[in-house]
Amino acid sequence: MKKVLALVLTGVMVLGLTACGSSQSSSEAPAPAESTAESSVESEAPAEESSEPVALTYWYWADSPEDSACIQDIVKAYNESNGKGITVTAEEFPWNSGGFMEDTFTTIMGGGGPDISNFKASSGSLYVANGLLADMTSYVDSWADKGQISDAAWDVMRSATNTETINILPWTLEPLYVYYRPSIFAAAGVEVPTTIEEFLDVCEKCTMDTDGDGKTDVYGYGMRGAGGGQEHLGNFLYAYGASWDDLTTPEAVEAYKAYLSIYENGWAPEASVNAAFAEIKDEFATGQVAMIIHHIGSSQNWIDTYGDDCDAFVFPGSDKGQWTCTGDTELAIYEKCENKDAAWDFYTYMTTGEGGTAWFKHTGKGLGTDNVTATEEFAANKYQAVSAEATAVAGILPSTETVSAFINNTWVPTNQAALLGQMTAEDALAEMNAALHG
Amino acid sequence: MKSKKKFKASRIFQIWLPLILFTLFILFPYYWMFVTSVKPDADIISKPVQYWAANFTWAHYKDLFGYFNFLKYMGNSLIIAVGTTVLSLVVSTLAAYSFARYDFKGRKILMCLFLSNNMFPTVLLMIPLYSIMSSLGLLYSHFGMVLAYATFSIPFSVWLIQGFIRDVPFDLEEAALVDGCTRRGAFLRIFLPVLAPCLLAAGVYMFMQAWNEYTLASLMTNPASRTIPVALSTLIGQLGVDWGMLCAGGIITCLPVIIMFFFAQKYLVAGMTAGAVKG
Repeated sequence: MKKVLALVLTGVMVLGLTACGSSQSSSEAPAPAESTAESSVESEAPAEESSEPVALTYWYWADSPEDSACIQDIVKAYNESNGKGITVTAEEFPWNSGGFMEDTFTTIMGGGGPDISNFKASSGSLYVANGLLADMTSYVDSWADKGQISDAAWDVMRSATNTETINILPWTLEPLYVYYRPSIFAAAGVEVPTTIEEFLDVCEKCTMDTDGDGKTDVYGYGMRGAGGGQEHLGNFLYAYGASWDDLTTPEAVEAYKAYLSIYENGWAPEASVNAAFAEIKDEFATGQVAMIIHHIGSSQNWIDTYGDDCDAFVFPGSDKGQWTCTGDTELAIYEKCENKDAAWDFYTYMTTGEGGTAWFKHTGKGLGTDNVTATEEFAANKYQAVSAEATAVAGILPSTETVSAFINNTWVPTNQAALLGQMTAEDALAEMNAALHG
Repeated sequence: MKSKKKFKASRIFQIWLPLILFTLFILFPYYWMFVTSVKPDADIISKPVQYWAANFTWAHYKDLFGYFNFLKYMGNSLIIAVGTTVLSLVVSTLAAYSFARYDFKGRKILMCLFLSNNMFPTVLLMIPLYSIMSSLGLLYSHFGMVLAYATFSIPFSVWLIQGFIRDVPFDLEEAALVDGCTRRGAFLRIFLPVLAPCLLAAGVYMFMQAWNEYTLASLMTNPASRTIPVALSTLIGQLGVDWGMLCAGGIITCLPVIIMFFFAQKYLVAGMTAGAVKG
């Protein structure tokens, strides 16, 4: 019996080693720099000269069936018009609360996956550490339209991977700013805040019992206490002179206490503790809250819902600092992609080409490139100017190796415990700091 | 007479009322899902909350079966779930019969190895499974999904069915053999009909698992072979949720499972507990 057991275990070990061996050999593929050197040479030759048809797979997530249809239309138009024999197959995969990035990682590690995909900067370090992303620096440096995209955007790409190279490519940046209801501000007798203290004052004064039944009907601030809320905490941190680098400083504690006070004082709905974007969107759409933080992506909703009774301002800072998180969607070209010239051509179409224009017209999201600013839609949307203003103070969470774990595992339970008074601000920040910086 | 009335009143408060409340508690999410699916978008998020559909509409169902192409996803789910059920039942019935009726070397170790597969979290097995499917060219195919699901359902079913088989007296087959039946004939004509309730229970379990599974399907299907749970999750975006269509899809998805469970629940409970009690 023991012999049988030993044989079985040996068999399992051999199988395991074989599996490891095959994945090792795939990781022994040319280093990104090497392949880029080759690619950059290739890129000097116009892609039109390539007579071979090229097939690329592009994975994306969509926020609605309409967005998905728009992507499919863009890709169809690209396939019909590129004239280089490039055929892109666009396949939608679920956003899955950010699980898209993990699923894509799993498939590429498993030997499959796309040539190009939508990407989140917060996953940059993970992908680079595993050598999955192509180094596109030489393509970017020789790109005539590079200057149309702000330096801040390229800095965000570099900081996302903690490298000096460009491994992920900007597609849309959506810095956060504050949407507010002027009619509620008028009823509360407040102006647009210019300092963090004024912001808290506005939260308090906009919390009102409008029908005199003794219950609050309108809250000052639609707090996002659950998924994604960590981005909003950053606004408070920098306004109090703290930063993401160390969440245990006295400034960080002061900032977090100010943040928590909004909930403790009842200036945010009780359900804020479980609120992600869908919830604060509903709160703002139904007039329950006077302000929410979000980016340009929801601007069309508010234009349709409220018309002139909605406006926006950049989250105020102080003389100590000002910061806002930028929502982001990048495009990534993977190391496994065999024709990076074709993938790059598709990327340029999706940003400064017709694809970028069509996407901006449909979603209001882009990079402020010439093709976008020239559209009637850009001129007609007052929030685009606020978004551009917010870009100047925009950044992303530090790309530590554990940032995804911090966002996915630590932020929500820790912040909820602090909001419910089950944890002190100091303890919660210490836990977040440990999760973020390892 | 008085004591009988008192008895009835106490039964209402001690049994019926708690049961009714508990049933309402269980059924409310389904009711809420249905009501949401027949409300216009504006009513779904309106405040105060509407507990009934004041402006009844089938629009979400029309969208679901219209441009969302839900029938295609239902077809994919059905093919994969039925395929998994049939393959798993055939393999696990034969395997369970061998384990229960034959005594051979390494039987216990093999049984433990079967079970060890279910001890790994699915997430750990995803990359190797994906890699194997990719190497075999089975990615994004119905057959690939059937194989992936069978990997998990067969071990469980083998244990379930062999527990039932052990309770069936061997005398039954022996009598058939004495009467001139072959081993195969005894298995097919005598043994299999006895096993029917257990196979039904295992089959329903496998079907439900394959019908509802999300994690593997999110990796190993593409838009052409996508199953219902993954297709519905594309309605949950980064910036919003299409609640109406999502709930309409949820209602449609629940129906086959509820109907199946309704007819098979007697066997399901009996089959699940088969072999658990010796007597």
